[in-house]
Amino acid sequence: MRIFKRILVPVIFIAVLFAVNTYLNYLLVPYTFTRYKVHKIETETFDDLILGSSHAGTDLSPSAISSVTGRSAFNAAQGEEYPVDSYFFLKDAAGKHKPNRLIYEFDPNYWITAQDVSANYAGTYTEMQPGKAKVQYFFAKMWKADFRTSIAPWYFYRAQLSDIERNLFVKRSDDYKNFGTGTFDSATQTVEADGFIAVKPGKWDDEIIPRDWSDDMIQDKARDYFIRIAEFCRREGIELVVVTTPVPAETLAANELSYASAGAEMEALSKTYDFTYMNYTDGDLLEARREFTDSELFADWDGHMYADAARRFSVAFAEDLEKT
Amino acid sequence: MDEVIQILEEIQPDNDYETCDTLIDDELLDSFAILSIISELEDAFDIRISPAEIIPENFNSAAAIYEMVQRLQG
Amino acid sequence: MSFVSIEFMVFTAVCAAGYYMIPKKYQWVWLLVFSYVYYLAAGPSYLFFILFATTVTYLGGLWVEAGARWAVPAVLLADFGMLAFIKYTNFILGNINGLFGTNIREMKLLLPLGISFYTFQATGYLLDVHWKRCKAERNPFRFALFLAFFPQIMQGPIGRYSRLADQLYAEREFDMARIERGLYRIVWGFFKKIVIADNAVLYVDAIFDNYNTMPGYGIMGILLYGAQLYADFSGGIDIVIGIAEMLGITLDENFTQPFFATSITDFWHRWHITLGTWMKDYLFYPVTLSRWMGKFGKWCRTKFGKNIGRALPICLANIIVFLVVGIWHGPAWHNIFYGLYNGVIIGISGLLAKNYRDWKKKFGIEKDSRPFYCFQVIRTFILVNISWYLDRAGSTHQALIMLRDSITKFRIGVDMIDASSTWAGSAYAPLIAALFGCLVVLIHSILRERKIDTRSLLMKKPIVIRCLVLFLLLMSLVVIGNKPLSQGGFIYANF
Repeated sequence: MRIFKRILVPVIFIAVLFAVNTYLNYLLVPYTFTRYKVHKIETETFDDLILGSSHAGTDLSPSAISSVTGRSAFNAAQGEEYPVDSYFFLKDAAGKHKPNRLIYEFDPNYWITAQDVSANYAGTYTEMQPGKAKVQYFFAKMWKADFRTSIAPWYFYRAQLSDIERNLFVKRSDDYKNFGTGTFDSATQTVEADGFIAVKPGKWDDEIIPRDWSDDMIQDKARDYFIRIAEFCRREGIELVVVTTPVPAETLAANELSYASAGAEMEALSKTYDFTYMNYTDGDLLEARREFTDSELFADWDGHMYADAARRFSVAFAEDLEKT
Repeated sequence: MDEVIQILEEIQPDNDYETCDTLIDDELLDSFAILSIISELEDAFDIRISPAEIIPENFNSAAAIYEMVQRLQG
Repeated sequence: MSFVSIEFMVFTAVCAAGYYMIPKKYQWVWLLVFSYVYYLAAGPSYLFFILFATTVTYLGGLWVEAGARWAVPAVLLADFGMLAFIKYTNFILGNINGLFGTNIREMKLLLPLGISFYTFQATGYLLDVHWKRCKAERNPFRFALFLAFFPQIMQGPIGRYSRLADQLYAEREFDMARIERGLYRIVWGFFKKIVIADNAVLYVDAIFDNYNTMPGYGIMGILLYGAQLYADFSGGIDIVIGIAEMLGITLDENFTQPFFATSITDFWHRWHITLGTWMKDYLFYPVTLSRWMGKFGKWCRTKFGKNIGRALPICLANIIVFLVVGIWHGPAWHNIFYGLYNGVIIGISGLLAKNYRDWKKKFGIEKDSRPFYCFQVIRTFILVNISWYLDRAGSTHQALIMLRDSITKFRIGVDMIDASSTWAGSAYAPLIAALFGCLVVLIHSILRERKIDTRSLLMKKPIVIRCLVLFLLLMSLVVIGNKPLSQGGFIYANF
């Protein structure tokens, strides 16, 4: 009986801890479009899958692109999505509903900064359904990270107690159960059914930050995982198109050398791994589409376009894509 | 033996050297005191005390110190 | 492996579980394997250094025991030489360049995990064999475990062969109480590190990085630094000792309520204890009792009379020891001054020991008087905090400026950090959390200072209370702990 009690007590303790933790996750972790996007790519097949950072999320409208290409498209890009995240996102999608083409947005900034452990660090991982991709993702990112990040993501939101009411409301709503996008409507943006993040008019508060781009600044992990994306596409027969979206002219001027170097780096990779690279921050495409560097089209200096500007750019992009 | 106690009293008074046998264990002698005592012992008894001798067994009581001194005198 | 990673937790759990499931005579082998796996995870290229130290010292121990006296300086030179080369080459080159205007390029040298700790452990072993305090270990793999034992490899405590050997190689039964005791210690260590250190560091770093643009916060910064340093280091040690305890191995304590110290001397008997005792046994005593120090002593006696003459060599040796302690903390001049500061204060108090006794009698101060005890504790606290300016500041120059500004431009506030970047969106929250943690630790320390064994006390309480305590500690890690810092490591893991 004593041995039984000795085992029972730790088991009950862990069970209670697990229950409390799960409930706190439910109360505090909000319903974000990450969940929506992960669900879409795991359950539906698309011809074109768009992955990348928040720039791709706001600047590439799948419906606009489809109107030119005639192919189905979905935008699974989001802020804080580093190459490692895109890679496993892709693996997850390909494992269930393989796309024919991957449109991957290359944002040089994501290659020269190490990923910060913030709320988004575990976002995509948490929403994935169990499977091979999720297990590999766990060992790539969560295994060596702080235990709170993967087990108790609620702790990023612990100060937002006032949001509990809204979270409960959302999670009990049909929108949440049926994976709707209605609740993503905020003051600055909405998320459309095809994953496009439509930015509403109104300037965001930020500054032009001059950044350096050089060989020793590149994070090994970033380049590593991008190469894995390229090789994965080649193996699985997925056409790969890499794009760097436009930025305001002023931002370009402050970072001219960096964008040129980064572009050259990706250009070289495109030759080695045989994919198409479309760079709107340097060279021919910049010249041809210079109208899209007008700062009036952007909500901030970082490069997030307003919705209608993004739709127009997406059409232009699709036309350029068809020509290659 | 009396000389040993005299040296101890002079360097670190306030301890009962007749009866106490936990001088090191109870930290009644700190390292400064121990080294001062060693210096005096070396002078008084014409011996050399090496670091190997600085173990609690040799310094926990006046009697233990005296035993060590006698041993080193050969 | 980061202590807070799932990787490390799984690693430790598997190690502990397996330890009690395999045949007892292989238990030490299990520990050896896991220790080397842990070391490899830190970087395979560093393996060479620990293997070098292990081989050289293992052989040295056998040779010394066989009578080869030359082996003692040879092994010491090899072990310390390697440590000195890696840690201090660039510092020396930098100073040479500064002095002679040369431009010798600094080398790209990374510090192998634990080298400061296992080097000391190895050389201590060798001297113990030389002084016949222990027998040389004949089994090279058992010796390898002594140096590489994974809980202590990162930041100590620096162990002694005579105390560790029997424990490491012993055969053990599973004991649930032991696991529980160890678990409390581990979680307590995490509490200190995550709730106090990780929160305090936000302010400390901001204050010390911006001492020019935002002067005057020195006192706030140094007090929080003391809290951070103590919580980080002792918390890490708690985790280490707790893990070892789960495996049935008792490591030496490294901290015994250092902020209750009544003098700087006493402080170093309570702070980083194993470093202090190592220095005492293997540097302080041998240097003081050496032949040339004896000659110096005789010269002092003729010049200054018996009392001072006897004390001076000890003071000098003490300063040398603390010079080494300072250098051990890092290849920088402010570290050396940190060591000297401590060494000089202790040296002076040693010289004046008799005078202090006389003055106390004169002023009628009783030995156990309460007010005097308070005076001593506060005085020591102030002296220690001053020394920490030299430790934390990036340079001696910065330390002195900050010391001055602490008084002349004294300020308290939280405007040095960006509220939106904290885990509560408030610039006060991390501070309050850290202070709360300090309060809890203070209460716990007072109990321990009164010789109350808090853990045994806890173990006697009903199971519900114990579960509640554990639950609260674990929840506090998540609720009021700082979000993981991108470095996320322990301060002393870089030594």
